[in-house]
Formats: sequence, C-alpha cells, structure tokens
Amino acid sequence: MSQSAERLAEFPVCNSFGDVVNERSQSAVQRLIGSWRYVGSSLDGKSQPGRGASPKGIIIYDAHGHMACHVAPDREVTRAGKEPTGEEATAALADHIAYFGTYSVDERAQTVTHHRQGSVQPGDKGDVVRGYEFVGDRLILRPVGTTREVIWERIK
Amino acid sequence: MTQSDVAKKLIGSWRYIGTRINGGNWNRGANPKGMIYYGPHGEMAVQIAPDVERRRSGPEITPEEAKIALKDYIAYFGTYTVDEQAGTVTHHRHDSLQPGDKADLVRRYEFTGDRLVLRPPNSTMEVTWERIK
Repeated sequence: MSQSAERLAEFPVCNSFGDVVNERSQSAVQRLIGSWRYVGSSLDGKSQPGRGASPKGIIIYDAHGHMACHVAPDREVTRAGKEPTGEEATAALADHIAYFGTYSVDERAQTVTHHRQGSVQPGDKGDVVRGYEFVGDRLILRPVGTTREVIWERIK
Repeated sequence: MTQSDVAKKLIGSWRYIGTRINGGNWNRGANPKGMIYYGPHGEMAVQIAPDVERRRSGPEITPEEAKIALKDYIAYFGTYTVDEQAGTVTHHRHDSLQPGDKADLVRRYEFTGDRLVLRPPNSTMEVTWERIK
C-alpha cells in the first residue's frame, strides 16, 4: 500500500449521522440503509415457534441514523370494547416487537447497535447490539452472546 | 405536483411532533416520540410512543402493565399509495400492534417547509411530523 493510500485508509470519516467511522464501516452502513422484510427467527438453529404460521415484520435503517423495527406474530388478537382489556393487551404484546430510535455501526466488531428511544414492551430500555451478516439479499442479525438469529430480506 | 413528486416528497423518515384534535393537544404525555417512514418501494411504517413509564415488575407482564404499555402506542406497517387528486396518502396496513386494528387508513397530506401534516378525513385531528435529515 502506498503511503498516501495507507493514510487515506486510516483517515477517520464521518458517516451521515456524525459518528467517526472508517471507510469499510461506512460501506456497511450503506448496505444496511433501506427497509427489510422479516423472514424468520431461529434459536440454536431451530426456527422459533410462538409467532404463528406467517409472522410479519419490517426493520428500517434510514440514511440519517434512524431506525425502526416491528415484528408482529401471526395471531388473531381481538378487542371487544373501545379500549383493550388487560388480557387483550397482554395477548397483543406477547412476542410483539415494536421499537425505534437511532443506530450506529461498529465495523470492527461487525455489530449494529439500536439505540432505542421508544419501545412498546414494558421494561425495555437502552441499547441492543446485533451482529450483522449480509448474505445476498438477506441480512442476518444476531443478538450478541446468544444463538438466536433473525433473518431479513431487502425490500426492493 | 405529479403523483411521483408527492411520493418523492413523502419518501424518508419523519419525526413525530404532535397531535392536535379539536384545536387542542392530544395528550400523550410530556415528550412523546415517534417516527413515520415512507420507503422508495411503497413500504411504510409508523410508531408513536406516548411518554409514560412502561414498567415490568416481574418476568411476566401483568395485565395492568400490558394495558399501560399498549395504551395509545401506535405501531403499524405495510404499504402506501398516493392519490394526488384527493391529496391523500393511504396506509395499507399489513399488521398493527393494536388489537382489532385492521384495514386501510386514509390521510390528507400537507407539506409546510420541513413539516408534513397528516389529517384523517372528516376529523379535526392533525398529526405533525418533521423531516429527519
């Protein structure tokens, strides 16, 4: 590598939301940006039951460092009255993921961190860190320290 | 403005500013947060989180905790279409957090500077968003 190329490689670059990143992490951000359709989740290599036959979901990474995630189980959840009862609310929340906030990418660790600003799940606070892997049109997110994986497919 | 121009203006993400109804503020607490997203491929998602403490006392959420967590929290996603003639955007919901929430929602849109105002037809409600950039 020539000296100038080496200098360039080490030169810190700011991504669109102000984090200092190197050039490779900027490209990981570029690959994340867009929206992704939920395909499924697995634990220990086995697909996870509990979300029904055809759960739906979307995860969004925008160009300005904002993100949102929503995974809805395939389950009929009813509401008898104007406001859901405690039981109906409990059923609606079970296995339902809905949060949003900002995100940042650590290219060295190959992780994306979701800085949650709002989440419907009681007690949900703070950041979640996900290892990311791109496979063709798919994005695999793995909660760090678990054998869980969540598969997404690029919406295009 | 052609339809594609409107769709282009919608595309991106927008930060929740607030909701008004009958000229007053819809109470979602002191500092509710939210985001709406319109994608370039016709996909959309929205979430609005009221500013309340969503507590969990144990590993299982109690029915009362669930009720508080769910109340007025808007979260749905799907696709959208624009009717320029009518000045409306329709949210075709594929799923929604709220039980019993189904079908399409029609919103009149208005762009004012960096803001987007969405109004359900035949309602005094308006929801204001600010472009995230």
